[in-house]
Amino acid sequence: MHSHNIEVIPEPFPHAVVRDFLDLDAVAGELEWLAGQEFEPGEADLFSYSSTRELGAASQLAGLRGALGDSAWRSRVAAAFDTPPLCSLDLAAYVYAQGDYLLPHDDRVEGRQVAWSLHLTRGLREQDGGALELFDAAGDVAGRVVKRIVPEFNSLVLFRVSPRSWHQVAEVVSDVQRLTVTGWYHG
Amino acid sequence: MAEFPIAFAWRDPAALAALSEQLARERVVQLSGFLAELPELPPAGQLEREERSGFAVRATGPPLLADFWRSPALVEWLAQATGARWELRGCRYERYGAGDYSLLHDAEGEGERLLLALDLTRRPQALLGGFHIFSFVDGAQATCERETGALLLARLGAGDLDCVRYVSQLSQGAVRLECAHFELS
Repeated sequence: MHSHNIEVIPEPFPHAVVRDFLDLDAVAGELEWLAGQEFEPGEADLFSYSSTRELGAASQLAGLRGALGDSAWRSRVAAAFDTPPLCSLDLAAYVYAQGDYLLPHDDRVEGRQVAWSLHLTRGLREQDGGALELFDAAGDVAGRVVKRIVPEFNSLVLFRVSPRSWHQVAEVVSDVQRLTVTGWYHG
Repeated sequence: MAEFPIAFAWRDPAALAALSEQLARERVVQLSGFLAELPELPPAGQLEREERSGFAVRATGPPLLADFWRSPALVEWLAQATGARWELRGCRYERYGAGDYSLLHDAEGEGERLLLALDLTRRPQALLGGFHIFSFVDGAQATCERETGALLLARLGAGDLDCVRYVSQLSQGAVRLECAHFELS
C-alpha cells in the first residue's frame, strides 16, 4: 500500500487524495472492530457528529496504525507537504449521520502539521452530503468553497495544516452514515 | 413606540417585579408574547447576505423596530427589569435560512451588555437547528429554542458569547430575529 504516490494539489491549499489506501484483506478484522466501537454523540456551535475516544494506542488497530504511521510513509508525507519530520499521529473514528456537519475551521492547533481522513463508507454520493469542502482564503480569512471532495471508500485525504487550510464537512442530508478515521500528523 | 407596545402582561408591575427577581438569578430569560403585535417581515430581497465563513453566514437588514428599541418607554422598562440603565448600541434584523449559522466568537471590547432578540420565526417547529446558544465565561451554557413572538433577554458580561445554531438543510423555513444590543449608560 505504501507504493501509492502522494500527488499534492496546491490550491486552494496543499492537499492530496490517495485512493485504495488500505489493503482491505489485511485490515478487515480491524475495520469490523472499529465499527463496533462506542460512538459518542457530540454537539457544539461548530459541529454535530459522533466520535470514538482517541484510538491511537488501541492494540486492535495495529495494522491501520502501521499503514498510517510507519516511518517510511510518514517521511513521504512530510516530503510531499514540505513539513518538518512527522513524529507521531493521533486518530479517532467519526460518524456523521443525517443532519450532522462540521462548519468551517482551519484545524490549527500547536504541533499539527498534516491532517488526514480515511473514508470508510461505501457508495456515498454527492447528493448524500458529507463532502469535504475546501475554501479559498484571503490571508487567514476563509472565502468561498472552491472544491468538494466526495468521500470515496478507502481513500485517504491529506492536507497541510496552515492559516489557509479552511475546510468543512457538508451536512449529511441522506439516511446514511459517513464513517471516517481521522487525525493529524504532528511535527 | 406606540406602534409596537410591550404587551400588558409584561408591563404589569407584579410581572416586572417577578422578572426582575428572575434576572437576578438567571442570565437568560425568554418572555413569551412580548409585544402586543409583531411587525411585518421584510421581503427577502431587501436583505443583504453576510457570508463570513467560520464566523457567520446569514442575511441581515435594517431594524424593523428601530423606534421601539430607542424609545424611553423601553429604556424605563429595562431599568425596572434589570435594575440598571441601558443605552442602545446597535440593532438590526437577522435571517438564518437553511445552511446559515453564526459561531461563538469573542467581540473585542465588550463588557457588560444586554442582548434583546425578538423572535419573528414562523413555524419554529419546522426548523432543525437554529436555536440560540449562550456560552458564559464561567463555563455555563444555555440554549433557547425558537418561539414566535418571544423576547430573548440575555445579560452578558465580558467573555460571554452567543450564536445561532446551524440551520439544517433539511429544515423548512428560516430563523428570523430582530436583535438589539444595549450597554450600560
